[in-house]
Amino acid sequence: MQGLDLKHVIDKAIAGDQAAFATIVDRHEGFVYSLSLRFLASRADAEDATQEVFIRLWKNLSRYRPDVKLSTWLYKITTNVCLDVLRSRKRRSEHRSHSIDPDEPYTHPSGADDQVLGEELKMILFEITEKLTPKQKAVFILRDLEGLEVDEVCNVLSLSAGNVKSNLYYARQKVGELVTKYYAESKGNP
Amino acid sequence: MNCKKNEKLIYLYDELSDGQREQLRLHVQSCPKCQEIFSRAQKQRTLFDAIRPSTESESTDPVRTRRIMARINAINAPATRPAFFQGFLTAPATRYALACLSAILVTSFAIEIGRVSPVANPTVSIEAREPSARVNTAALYEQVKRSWRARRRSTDVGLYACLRACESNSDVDCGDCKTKYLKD
Repeated sequence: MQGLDLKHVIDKAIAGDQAAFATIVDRHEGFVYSLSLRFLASRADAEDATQEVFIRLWKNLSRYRPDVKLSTWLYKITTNVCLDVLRSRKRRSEHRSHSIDPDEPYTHPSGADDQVLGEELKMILFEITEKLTPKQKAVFILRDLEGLEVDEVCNVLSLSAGNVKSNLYYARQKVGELVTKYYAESKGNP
Repeated sequence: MNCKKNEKLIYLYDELSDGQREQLRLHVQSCPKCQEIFSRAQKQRTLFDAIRPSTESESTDPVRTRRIMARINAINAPATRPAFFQGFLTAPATRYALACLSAILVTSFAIEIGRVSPVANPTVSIEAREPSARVNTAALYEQVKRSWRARRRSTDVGLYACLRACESNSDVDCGDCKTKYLKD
């Protein structure tokens, strides 16, 4: 029912209905923002990336194929936008030692232990994934953090399954080493 | 299987087939080093599962939506416009109309060229354009014809050279070229 409804909304947006497009934005901006934040580890950059994603979507909406899920398409656009940002960051050599804005602490709505642990791990991963190559980072985020299937990752990144698995192996190995190192250091410095 | 190869398979455990998993499990049971890597990789997987986003965690922000829509309004380039033009240009009716228009333009151009060219048929064209100039038509036609003949003769290098030689030196006057020239 929701799928049919979304299809109807997309059709209206393709016809130029901005209100219908606003509905699409409203439904998906949360996921696009959180994915951008995973990639960019900066709220301001993630905010800009989210806007860029929906502008690209609006401009290319006439090329939308109903056989492809909108979420898959959004994953693809978001990944491309974020990889562009990462590349330009690399070019500008803006290598930050702390990926999270120090003035803007990562807050969470409730103080539940699990959530605190999850947020802490997220912060650690933000820093750790900065040390991966853009391709490794993209594969790791999409497969391990977003939970996409391997063929979906292949589709989003336009890579072969072998290439995705190879990048995934190196990313997981590196992340594993860095997480272990991080916890060892934090135990050593209470 | 060696341990180095198995390490890769351990990190890609979720992506393995059932057969590969079984084979790996047998090796891990017998190899303490791989057992340690396997245990570490399992813990890592559990951690990632814990921070995997759920639908509820993706909270929407109305302010963000408004900002995005404001930028889209500012762009002022509806996504349907290119599609509309593309559809318009590829429509069969548009194609036929464009083909007819091209044919009309080519024909008019050809007619216009024929009309202004004095070479094609000067009498007709001059009369058609300016009936009052009928008196001068014959004279103009003769003038054009003469200039054409002169041009053609000048290209006949042999005759022209002979004529010049005969004119400059009366001793070698062949007389033939002058006859030919006058006759032509």
